[in-house]
Amino acid sequence: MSLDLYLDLGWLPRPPSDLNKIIKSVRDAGPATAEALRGLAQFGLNELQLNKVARALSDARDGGVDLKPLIPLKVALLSNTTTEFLSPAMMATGLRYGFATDLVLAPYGQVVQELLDPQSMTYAADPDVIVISLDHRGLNLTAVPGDVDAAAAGLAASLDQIETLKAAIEQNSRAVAMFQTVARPAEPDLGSLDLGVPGTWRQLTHDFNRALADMLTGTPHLLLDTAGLADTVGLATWHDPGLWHMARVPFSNRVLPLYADHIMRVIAAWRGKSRRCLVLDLDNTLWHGVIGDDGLDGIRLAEGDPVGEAHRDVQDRALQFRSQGVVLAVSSKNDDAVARTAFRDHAEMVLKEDHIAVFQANWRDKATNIQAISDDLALGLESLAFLDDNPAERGLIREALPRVGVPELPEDPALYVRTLVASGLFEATTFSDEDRRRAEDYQSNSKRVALQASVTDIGEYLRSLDMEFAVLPFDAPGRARIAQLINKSNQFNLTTRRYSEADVAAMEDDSGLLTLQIRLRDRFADNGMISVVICRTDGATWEIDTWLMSCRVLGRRVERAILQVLKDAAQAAGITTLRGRYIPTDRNGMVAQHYAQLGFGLVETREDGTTLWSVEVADLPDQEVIGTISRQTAPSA
Amino acid sequence: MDDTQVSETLYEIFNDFFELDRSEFGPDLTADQVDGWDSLNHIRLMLNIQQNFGVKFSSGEISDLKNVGQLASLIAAKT
Repeated sequence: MSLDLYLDLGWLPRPPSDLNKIIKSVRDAGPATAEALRGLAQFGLNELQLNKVARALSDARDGGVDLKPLIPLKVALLSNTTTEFLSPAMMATGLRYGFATDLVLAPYGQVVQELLDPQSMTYAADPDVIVISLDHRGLNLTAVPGDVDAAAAGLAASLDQIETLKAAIEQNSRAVAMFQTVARPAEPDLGSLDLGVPGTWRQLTHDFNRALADMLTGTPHLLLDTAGLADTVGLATWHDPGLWHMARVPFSNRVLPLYADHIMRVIAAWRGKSRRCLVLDLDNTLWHGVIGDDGLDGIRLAEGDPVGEAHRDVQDRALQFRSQGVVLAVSSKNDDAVARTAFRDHAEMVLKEDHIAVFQANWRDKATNIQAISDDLALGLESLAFLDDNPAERGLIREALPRVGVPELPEDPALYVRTLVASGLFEATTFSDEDRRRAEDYQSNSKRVALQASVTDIGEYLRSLDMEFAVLPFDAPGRARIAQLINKSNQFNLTTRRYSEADVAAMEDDSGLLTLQIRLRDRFADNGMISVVICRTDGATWEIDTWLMSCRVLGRRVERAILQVLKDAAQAAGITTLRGRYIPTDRNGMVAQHYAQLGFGLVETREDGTTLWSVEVADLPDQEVIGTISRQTAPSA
Repeated sequence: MDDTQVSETLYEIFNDFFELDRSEFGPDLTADQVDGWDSLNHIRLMLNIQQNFGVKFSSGEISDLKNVGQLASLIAAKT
């Protein structure tokens, strides 16, 4: 079954296949710890899974577990519909937002009685929030097409009812109330004419919803736009007549996780838990392509190019978020100067340097960079969201900095914006001029901040990636991609020597060469071919003619694994010496120290900056290879 | 899907819901024999079963079910 962005909460990571076992182990281990519970809720859970997590939370609470640092939250839930399915979903979803939610359920259909009675169990429970989940069947609304007076009377009575409930809550409780807009039925009354005819569901719900929103503006109470949510997923998906008839459940069970998430995200926003800073990756996020390899002219973000437009949409939306008070920052594995040329010199860029508060383009891990952004802006990690197309980078941040909001992204960049927005990371309960100006308060000088010590043991994370390297000599199936990498890679490229596809084909049978094409798969993705190495045999020496790598896998110690492959192959072939060469270009400064870091000795520095390096194979220590290597590298020498 | 497969998948769903022993599970099992199998959980159970088997039950079929055996037959008739 394909993933539905909304119904399956597609911006959240998929639950592991053994989730049930994990939940069970959390429960069996006795009282679940707060962090374990919170971790379980970070996945896109379905209704059944939410139920189980809620039960684990109940067990922990009953077991007297200290649930700190979860924030205790008491929610009273009142409805004209069945709330037994919703309440566990809200409890589990609350964990996602850092709440230990306690729910007080009013008896079915007792909304008015409960709220007008100062002695009711709802008030006795002293809730923080009172959620009033009334649907179109719980108000004085009924379809009266064409009857202007009856329509007006129904509308007035419904709004009076809300006013009465609101006043009662204000009188009897310290709680804020959450009211919801009303999703209209999926079935039109007359048809296309409905919006123009008084008393149709289309007009009634439209008028009611608008008036409700106006009534709540400027009050401390919260608005849940259920009608908007139902519109987004589709009314025919939202409403389930059979379920209503059987159990008075207000909507399809498939939308329950989404509805619960929206209730809890509004509460979270009210408690100040919305994100205030969006940290953006650059390559393949803000534009298509890799600026360091493809160059200023090679990246795609132009109008008229579907791929380019998808990435421009990301920029447009980031700029809109900024106008809504979200501070923008950049974290990219890039050369600082190269990354900035896009902002300065690319005509199609929507975002400019002065929209960015902190601009971190370097080769260190992103967790360290995001920590530095957080420190510099004096915004806690829980105020940050991070947008990156690369699943391994997202995984790293989730693991190293779990408080940062990291939306999953689909393969297709055309859906990046929709997914980011659906995540609700920037949900707001109020919106003022002050919010509009907030981003300006942070000096948008695109500054680079110094990095502290690494925030995480990257090695541990890398081991969790289950990296599998597949090493092959050049062959016909790999030929086109090998030639492409040889002609495109600029940054992690020691010599920047270009060879045509025909040259590559000739190398396949050249017994004087060792050729390697290396593919990498990890638990997130098949990264495809990520590295190419060519060694020329000179007696008992291999001269490394070409060594290049895709920047997508930088920082994963891939070069160490490749060195190990080289060492093993050299020993098998009776090679005693490896010679390396670094030929500087304006793009490949990042590998100037590549051979030094791998233990080669400097032999010579030429006038043009070229450096020659050498190491005896016997002196090369075995490398700590993270991941597994499968190889068929019968050395051709 | 044959009867054994239907029954096996059903057991997994039931176990997921009610943590049943395999020995307790059989065609004659009814709601009042299972702790937690109340009318609302019955609906949730049916929703999950429909999703799992990719079938649709009518409201009438759901409310008229008497035991696990009938449920298995209903699924078998629709798959």
